[in-house]
Amino acid sequence: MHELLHISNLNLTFETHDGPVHVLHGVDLSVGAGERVALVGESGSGKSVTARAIMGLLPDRRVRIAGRIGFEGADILREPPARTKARRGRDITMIFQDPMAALNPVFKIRQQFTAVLDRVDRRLTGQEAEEHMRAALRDVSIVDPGRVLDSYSFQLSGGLNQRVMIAMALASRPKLLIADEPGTALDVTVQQQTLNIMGNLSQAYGTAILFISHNLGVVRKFADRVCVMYAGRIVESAPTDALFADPRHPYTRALLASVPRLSSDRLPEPIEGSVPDLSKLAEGCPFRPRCQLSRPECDAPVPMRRDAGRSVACIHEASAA
Amino acid sequence: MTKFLLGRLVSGVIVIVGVSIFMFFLARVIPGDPARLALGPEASAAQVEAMRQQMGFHEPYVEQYLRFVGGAVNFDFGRSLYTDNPVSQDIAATFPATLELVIFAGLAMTLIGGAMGIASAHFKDRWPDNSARILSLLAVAMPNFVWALFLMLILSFWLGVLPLTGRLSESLAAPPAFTGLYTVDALIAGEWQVFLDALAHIVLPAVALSLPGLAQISRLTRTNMVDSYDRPFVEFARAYGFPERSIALKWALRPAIIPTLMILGMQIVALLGNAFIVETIFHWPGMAKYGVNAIVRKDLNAMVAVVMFISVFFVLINMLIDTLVSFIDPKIRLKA
Repeated sequence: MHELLHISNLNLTFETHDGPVHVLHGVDLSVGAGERVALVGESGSGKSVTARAIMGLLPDRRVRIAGRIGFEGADILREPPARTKARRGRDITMIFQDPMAALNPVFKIRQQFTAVLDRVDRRLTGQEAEEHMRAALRDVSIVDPGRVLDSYSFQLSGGLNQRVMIAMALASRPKLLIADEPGTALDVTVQQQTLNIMGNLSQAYGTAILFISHNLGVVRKFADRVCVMYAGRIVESAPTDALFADPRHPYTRALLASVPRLSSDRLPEPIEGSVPDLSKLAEGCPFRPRCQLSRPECDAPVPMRRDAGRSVACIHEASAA
Repeated sequence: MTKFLLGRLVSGVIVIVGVSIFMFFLARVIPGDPARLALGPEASAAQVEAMRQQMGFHEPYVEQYLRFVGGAVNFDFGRSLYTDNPVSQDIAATFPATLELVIFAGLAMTLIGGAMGIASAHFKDRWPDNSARILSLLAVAMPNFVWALFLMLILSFWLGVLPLTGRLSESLAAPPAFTGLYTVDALIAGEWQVFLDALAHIVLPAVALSLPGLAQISRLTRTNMVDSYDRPFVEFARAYGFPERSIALKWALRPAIIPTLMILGMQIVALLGNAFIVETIFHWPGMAKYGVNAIVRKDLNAMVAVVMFISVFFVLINMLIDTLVSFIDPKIRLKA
């Protein structure tokens, strides 16, 4: 598959008043054209920061960043910022967690959508833009686009707002759509509906999706491949079916065990302990303090083991597999 | 929308009637005999009594009040006990000067204060923000009259770039009265020199008058802009590559400006009150000075009339601001 996004050895540090916080440690991640990749992990594992680094949305004054973020051959970290900016809203777009908050409360949907379209094609006349918007809204199963365009976000339901966001995100037929916990703020059935709409349309347009989530259940139905993130590292990456059938990293296993299941009497098992403090993180496996298999050797740097489209960062992997 | 404005109008009328009752009786219960004060210690008891009769001070308060209301709706507030002119004539002579001052100060306050707030938020924690912070602190910490004297000293006395006092240089004649605002009248008459001279005269008093409000507006705008910048809708705007300029002046500003607008009405009316000090220092022949003199001399009719004028001004400004806010904040407009 033609590779669209290729992140290698991405390191990122926030400068704070209490000293540097190492948020990302050598993240490797790639998304092929049209592929759906899920980035899964607990809060604070670095998922959203990775997404914002791809968009170039991090405040450069407080952030030190190293490594490579390749997008269609260009290196986002080394190209002029204007190039990264030019890509936003055209080649890469983004969907946010809470659609209601992401839409501006004092502008009508029409004004915001027009501004989005203005980025896609400046030459559109008012009439063309209007038709474009109505068609895009119908594509996300909105039956009365005129009314929605005339509304403010607070007049629409969460599900409608989310569909408006999807329509805006796909208006430019982007190559990559970053969905940052889409619909987490919505109720489950509405979330599922909107995800289906997003999935179907992106497939039709050939848009790749980087799907950020902490919900493994949602990811299973949606993604081609899953990358599990922990404390600023990708600890395991595998095709979705393979990951769910045979999770190899102890953290992935723990994460799967913590998901409640309706079809089973087994209670979900919480993961003991909490995400480590990123300001004082040692070498070696970050999951070690919470891992049942931990051994003294886990303190040494962990190499990424790769085979047959899977990779996992655990020294137990060689013996366990 | 019409319903909304009508509601505002009704509550405005209630405010004005309330103020008129309060002021009318307050003016009559504060100690001191207005007739004696007006005529001076030399006047005989008979003269004072004659004046009291003439002003109707013997009648019951309610009767006096009704007569006052009857006159006020026709813009007749009686005679000033001190200048002996009809009060409405005195106000007509002094109000335009104050209005001009308040308009200029209000514009300076809103535009400079707003711009400072926006720049502060945009360059948060960098030098434009830090200097704006120090400036606002100074503007609030030092009272109006200190600023007025300070600005006069530097710009007029030492540098000589701006005139010291008054509305116009003595060598120039006032432009033909149309609005009573010298700058506007000079423009209408096409008298450039008069316009520039009037402008030069109003800069210092207007700036001195605007400073406390300017600082407050700058701080409030900054706070709300900073808050706005942290909101997901601004990240959305960035993620979709909206130009940074339009983010600052449109997408982040519009939601942030609403609280500023809401205090703007009060700030503008406060200018009228503070104008007294500035008018005194700059020898500005305005209504604020007239009003304070009326209170000091217990010039009943003038006092009540000036306060009525200010309350009408207050109600009008607030209606204007409310309308503006309802245009910007759809939640208010749609509820109305």
